[in-house]
This record gives sequence, C-alpha cells and structure tokens, in this order.
Amino acid sequence: MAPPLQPVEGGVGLRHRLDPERPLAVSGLSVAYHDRPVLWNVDFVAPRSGLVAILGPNGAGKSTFLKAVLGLVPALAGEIRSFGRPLDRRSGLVAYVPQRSSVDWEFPITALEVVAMGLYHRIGWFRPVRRRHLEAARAQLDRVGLADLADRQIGQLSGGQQQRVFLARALAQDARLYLLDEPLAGIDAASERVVIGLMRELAAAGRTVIAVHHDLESVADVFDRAMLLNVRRIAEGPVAEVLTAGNLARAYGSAFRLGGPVAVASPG
Amino acid sequence: MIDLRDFLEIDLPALATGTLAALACGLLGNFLLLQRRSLLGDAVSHVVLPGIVIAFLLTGSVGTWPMMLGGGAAAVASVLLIDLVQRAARIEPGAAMGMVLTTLFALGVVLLEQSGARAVHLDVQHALMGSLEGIVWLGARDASDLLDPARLATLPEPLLRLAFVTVGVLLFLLLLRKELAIASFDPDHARSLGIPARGIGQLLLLASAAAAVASFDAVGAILTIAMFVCPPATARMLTDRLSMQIGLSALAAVLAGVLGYGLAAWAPLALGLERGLGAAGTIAVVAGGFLALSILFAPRYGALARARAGSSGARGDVGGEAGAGR
Amino acid sequence: MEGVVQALLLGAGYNSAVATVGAAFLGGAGGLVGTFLLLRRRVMLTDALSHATLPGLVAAFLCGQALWGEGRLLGPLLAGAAASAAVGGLAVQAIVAGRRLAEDTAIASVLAVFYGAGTVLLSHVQSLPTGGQAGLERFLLGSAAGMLRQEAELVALLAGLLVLVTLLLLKELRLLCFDPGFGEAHGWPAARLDLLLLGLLLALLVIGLQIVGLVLALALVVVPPATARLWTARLGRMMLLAAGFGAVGGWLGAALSAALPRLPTGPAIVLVLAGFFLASLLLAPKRGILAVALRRARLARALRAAGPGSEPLVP
Repeated sequence: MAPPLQPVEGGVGLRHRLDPERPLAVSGLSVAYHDRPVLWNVDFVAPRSGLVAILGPNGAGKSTFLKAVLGLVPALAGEIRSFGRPLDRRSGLVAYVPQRSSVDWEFPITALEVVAMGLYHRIGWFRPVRRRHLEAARAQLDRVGLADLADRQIGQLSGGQQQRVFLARALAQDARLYLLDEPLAGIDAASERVVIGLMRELAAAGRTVIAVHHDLESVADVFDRAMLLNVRRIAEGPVAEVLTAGNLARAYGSAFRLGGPVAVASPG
Repeated sequence: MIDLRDFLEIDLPALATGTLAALACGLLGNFLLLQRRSLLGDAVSHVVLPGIVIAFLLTGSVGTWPMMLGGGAAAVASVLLIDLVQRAARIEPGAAMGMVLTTLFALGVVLLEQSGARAVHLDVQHALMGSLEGIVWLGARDASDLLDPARLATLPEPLLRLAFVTVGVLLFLLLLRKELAIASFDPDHARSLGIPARGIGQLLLLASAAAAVASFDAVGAILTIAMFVCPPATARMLTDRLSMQIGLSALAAVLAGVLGYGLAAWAPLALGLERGLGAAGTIAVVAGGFLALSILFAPRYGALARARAGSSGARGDVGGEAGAGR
Repeated sequence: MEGVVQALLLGAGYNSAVATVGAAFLGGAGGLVGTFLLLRRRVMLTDALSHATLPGLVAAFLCGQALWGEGRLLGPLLAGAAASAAVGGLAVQAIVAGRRLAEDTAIASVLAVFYGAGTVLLSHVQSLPTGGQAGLERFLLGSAAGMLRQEAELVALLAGLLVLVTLLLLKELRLLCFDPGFGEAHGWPAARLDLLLLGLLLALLVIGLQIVGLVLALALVVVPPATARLWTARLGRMMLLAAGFGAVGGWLGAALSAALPRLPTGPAIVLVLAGFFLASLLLAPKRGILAVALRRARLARALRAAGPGSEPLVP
C-alpha cells in the first residue's frame, strides 16, 4: 500500500476544539509505525451524543485511530481534545474497550473482578477493592445479563459473554465518551442484541459511542454516523451519506461492491 | 546426629538464604508468568552479573548498595535494549531477549575474568553454580542467639540482604496488587484509565532485579530463573484464582527451599558420601519436581485429569489469536 | 598484539588453528540453522536445549568413570549431552502440549531445572578424588584453547558436515519457514521438518559445547540471523549473511580467545557477534536506527508542509 502523501483539506475549527460539550475533536492526527504511515492527517469531530462507526478495510488504521486518540500509541502529529481540553485519560470521561483478542483469557481472574477494574481509577493507588466496589461491579454485570456468571474464571465464558463483560467494565466507569474496538466481532446473536441495546441506551442517555466496525451490511441498522478510513479519512457523516459507491471504492479499492467479498488485505 | 551448633552456624543460614531466594523470586514470578514474560526473569537473572561486576569495578566493593544499584541499572538497561532490538531488528521478543541476555552475560564474564576481580564473593564459578555453602553464621552458639537482636545482627550479610528484599517484595505485592493485576491482564485498558501499565511493568522489573541481585549470593546468576518460574508455574497448574496462585507459589517456594537444602546437605551423608551436593542446584531440582508433579497430577489441568476428561475441550482459545498492536 | 595477529592467521600452533577453523565452521552453521529457527520463531528453544545438555554431560562422565575408569572421552560425553538435551526438548514440548503453561514458561523452567540438576551432579564430581581433573567446567563457557588435537579435528569435521547437511536441506527448510501449509499439501509434513530442524540444532549444540559453551550457545543461533535480518528481507541473502557473520565471528572470537589470557572462548565469540549486530543496528541502510529516524523526520516534515487550509498541527 503506497502511503498517500496528500492530507485531506480542512482541519477542525476552534469552535469544536474549545467546545466544553464536544466529546472529541481530533485534528491532523498522523501515526506511523517505524516509517510507514498508518493514519495520515485525520480530522474528526464526534457528535455530542449518538453512535458513530469507524469503518475501513483491514490495516486501514481503525484500531490505531482509537489507540492514538487515547495516546496509547505515539502520534507523529495531531491534536486530541475532549470536552474542550487536551484529552486526559485520568479524567474518567473516556472509557475504552480494547479488542477481545488483545488480552489473555486464561488469566486467573473472575468476570466480576474484570468489571471491577473499571473502578480502579476511582479507588485510587494502593487501596484495595472493597465490598461496595464489587457490589457496584455486580450491578453492571447484571445490566449485561451475566450476574449468574460473576464468579466464573473469565476464560470459561463464551466470546460473546466476554465482550459483554468488557462492556460492563466500561459501563462501570460511567464515562461520557465510549471507544469500543470491534465490539460486535465474532459474538453470538444473543450477545449482539445485548451489546447493541446497551450502545443505544448510552446514546439515548446523551453519551457518545465510537465503535470500530467491520460489517458494512449492518452499519445502517446500528449506527447514526460513520467515518470511513483508509489511512486517510475518506468520508465522515450520516451513514447513508458515507456509504456511497464512490467512497467505498476509494476506501476498499475499485473491485469492491456492497454485498461482495471484502478482499483487500494489507499488513496490519 | 546433627549438632545444634553446626546447624546454627552452617545449615540454618544456608537453608534460610536458599528459601528466601526461592520465596522472593517466586512471588514476583507470578506476574512475570501472567505477562508471558518468564524469559524476562531469565534475562534479568543473567544481566545481574555484568551489573554487579561493573559496580564492583567502579566502587571496589561487593556491598549491598553497589550490588543493588549495579544490578538494577543493568536490568533496566537490558529491558530498554530488548525493546530497542525487538523494534529495530523486528524480531520476536523472545529472540530479542536472547540476544541481549547472552551479550550482557558474556560481557559480565569477560569483565570479571579480565579485571581479576576475584573478590571474596565474585568469581565465574559462583555466578554459574551458586554457592549456598559459603554462607555461614560465624560465632553462632545456641538457640538463644535466634532471639537476641544483637546476635541476629551478625547474621551473614547475604541472608540479611535477602530478608530485607523479601519483606520489600511482600510489601510491593500487597500495596500494588490491584495495579499489577490490571496492568498484567489488560495493559491497554489500564492505560486508558490513566494507570501507567508500563511504569508498573518497570517497577516489577526493578523488584525482580532486586530479588535476583539478593539471590545472586545464594544461587548465582542462572539458577535464579528456576526460582522465578517453577513455583508460580506449579501454582498456575492448580488454581484459577490469583490470590490463591500467589499463596500456593509461596508455599511451593518455601518447600523447595527447605527440601532442596535438606536433600543437598543431609541426604548424601545418609548415603555414606563424603560431602554434600550443591544446594542451589538441588533447590532448583526440587522446585522443578513440584512443577512436574503438578503438570501430571493437578486436579483439573493436569495431564492425567485431562486425559480422563477426554478431549471435550470446552475452553476457548481466543487468547491465541494475534493481538493487535501488543 | 602480535599474538592476536598470529592467532588470526592460524599461526599460533596447530591445535589452536584447528579450533579457530572449527569455530568458524560452527559460527557459519549456527547462522544457517539459526536463520530458520528465527523465522520459525523457535530460537529460544535453543536456550532450553543447550542448558539441558549439562546433566547428560556430567552423567556420561560419571558412567565412564564407573565403567572403564575414564570419563573424559569426548564421544560418550557428547552423546550424553545430546541425550539429555533431547529429553529437555521433549519436556518443553510436553508442557506446551498441556496448553496451560505458555512456551516461554516451559523453556525457562526446563532450562533452569535441567541446568540445576547438572550443577548438582557437577558438585558431586568436584567432590570426587579425581574430580579436580575432570575439566567439565570448560563446557560451560567454552575453551577452544584447552582442546586436544583429536577433539579439535573432530569438531572442525563435524561442523563442516553440519554446514553441508544444512545446505543440502535448504529447499525443505525454506518451505518450512515460508509456507508450511503449502509444504504439507505437497507431502512435506511440517512436524517432521520441525523435528529435522531440531535435530540440526541438537547437532550444532553438541559440536559447539567445547567452543562456545552451553551457557551462551544461544547467541550462536540468534545473533547472526538477527544481524542479517537488518540488512535484507530476502531469505537467500539472509542465510548467506548470517552464515558469514557467524563464521567471521567464530573465527575472530576463537583467535582472540586463544591469543589473549583469561578470555573464555564463548564470551569472546558472543561479544564479537554482538559488535557486528550493534554496528548493523545503527548503520543498516533500510532498517538501521539512523535510516529509520531520518525517514521518520522526513515524513513529519512532509506532514508539516502539507496542504493549504489545514490548521497548524500541534504535536
């Protein structure tokens, strides 16, 4: 994949960057692994509430976008602002759900203990997890329908249940912006219903959910808005305006058509 | 048969030092194991050698502080190097560790040989095989010494050093248990909460380096790795609870220390051999024996239990997928 | 200084010359075998196998002493080393097959426990009346200088043979690393090829015990290929370069060790190899640190000079 060297026109205005109600305003975000650009001059402004999908082919930089927003990978350039200030991870305003494949599911920890991790920043350094924290965690686990499995070792749950535990952990954080990496990948239908239901609930409660998503067919059913990425930002806006044949061809290559196989591979 | 005074002078200090070495390293090894960084324990225990030698060359002393600072600095340097080699040469982390640990250990050996720094406690043979037998409590007389603070202060320095480090390790685990758990289970999530997973990893590394330096007197540079890996791996076979795992690993470590020393010191005499065996090695072997037993007979995850349960593998293997960006 | 030059030119006596040539062959073979191990991501297995040679080595010595009063014959010693290393390799495999403990844990525990057992046996040998002359310690860090003439010749011969065998199996090994699935489909089972690779590694370790020693044998298979990887992304060139770095490193290291006092052969070879790696890490044209940093800086400049209308980019 040849690195596209022209940045998109535009940039994010001060109006958004300083807006205390704006969950996320990203300007000119660029990330390179070694000397290979993965994200190039990406601008993005999140709606004050609602569901936004991040779309694009494999290796387009979708997961990297979330990680770079959180500062988990170093950016070559760019500015990340959240609620009018530079994003501060310790503020507790932003919850992150990593890809399911990024952790060791054999880890000796129960579902309940995983959910309680969403409270760690509030418990503070050195202090132990107390009963009331576990009760709070149990309430969130109940919300995702897994209260019965609280004491199971996390690896003994199904993929969909694991994803729900992760979501419960994010809910326990009680954040205002949720960044989810592939929350619907490889999970069963029941879990999918629960996860989508909770995402909608969050949106209805005035939260913003930004989720990496891989299934173009279902985007319109779940999300309000979408950003199409392939290293650069290809398009952003209401789902119907983003998923045009022209945009998709620019993101996935001209061979792509909706309903056909997504056959664009690149090292990721 | 065993004279009390001999026991206090010779056996007790060696026994206690070996046991504490296994305990301090074994406790920390739990988190190395869970982070799939067991080989980092290997790296740390090797690079402690050049650290100690360089500190000795600079200060002319093998006292506690030069050793600790030298070993700690070498451990930090080695981890930075491993990271650099892994990213720049684009090879797997294990291979990067292998490169760094062999190179630095070679450097340590050459410096040691060349400088003629064969100070009291420093020689290559010692680094390779350990020498618990060299740790004696001169002037111990009877059991009342064990309760007399003034007498206890005359305990051999390696033992005192290790005792302090073990207390430090216990405090470290007690205070940072929750942070270590989150940083080991899901470092990206920890960092998204503002918990510095990398910093905690560095602290774990420094604690491991301190344990490795303190154990150096007892077991040398290479056998330390048995203490880091075997007790936690034994416990890992037996439980799915983190606190239980830590407790069981401590038990396995203490038992390995006591049985291992007993096997080295007294079994050969009982068999009519003239001299005892290398106790550092026997502790490693006993720790390995526990691991082998648990691998075979653990109630749920042991080979026998699994064979009996047949191949009804209900457990998923999602962890095996290539994690993105880790 | 004169002594070093003399040793490098093989002028420091027949024994040391043969040992130096043997070390060069050994380094070359290590680079070749290591290339495939690195690409198969199994290079750390070497550390477990090499440390696992110790108990077999010492046990073979004790058996030799007990059976015919002479434990120092090289043949039985190396056979014992190979046998216990093979057991160590099987133990790693068995632990990993249980799926509860990861490979790094298996490697670390086998390494430490086998090595520990070896030191116990060694401490017994040292307490024997004849133990002082056993000279088994030289297998820990290597000592080309202490080699007998026949031993040096044997090692040089075996190392040459190993290079030859590896070259003959080139096609199969390339298949194993590049596309094991394709290999399977064409009748080259990956499991059997992996076993073959491990066999080559075992042979390498056994031959290398006297020269590089078991503690640092790992360096022989990891450093040269990693160095080569910095210079090229092509397998053929990587093999050639790795073998080249390994051979030159073995030669230089063994010669230096023979010429200078108190310089064990293993560490000497490892440090020479590490020097090659360090220089490559800095200077390699594509992947070297300097080259990458330059290109990243250029990328950042291009970004800053980017299109009209975009607001200033705050780092």
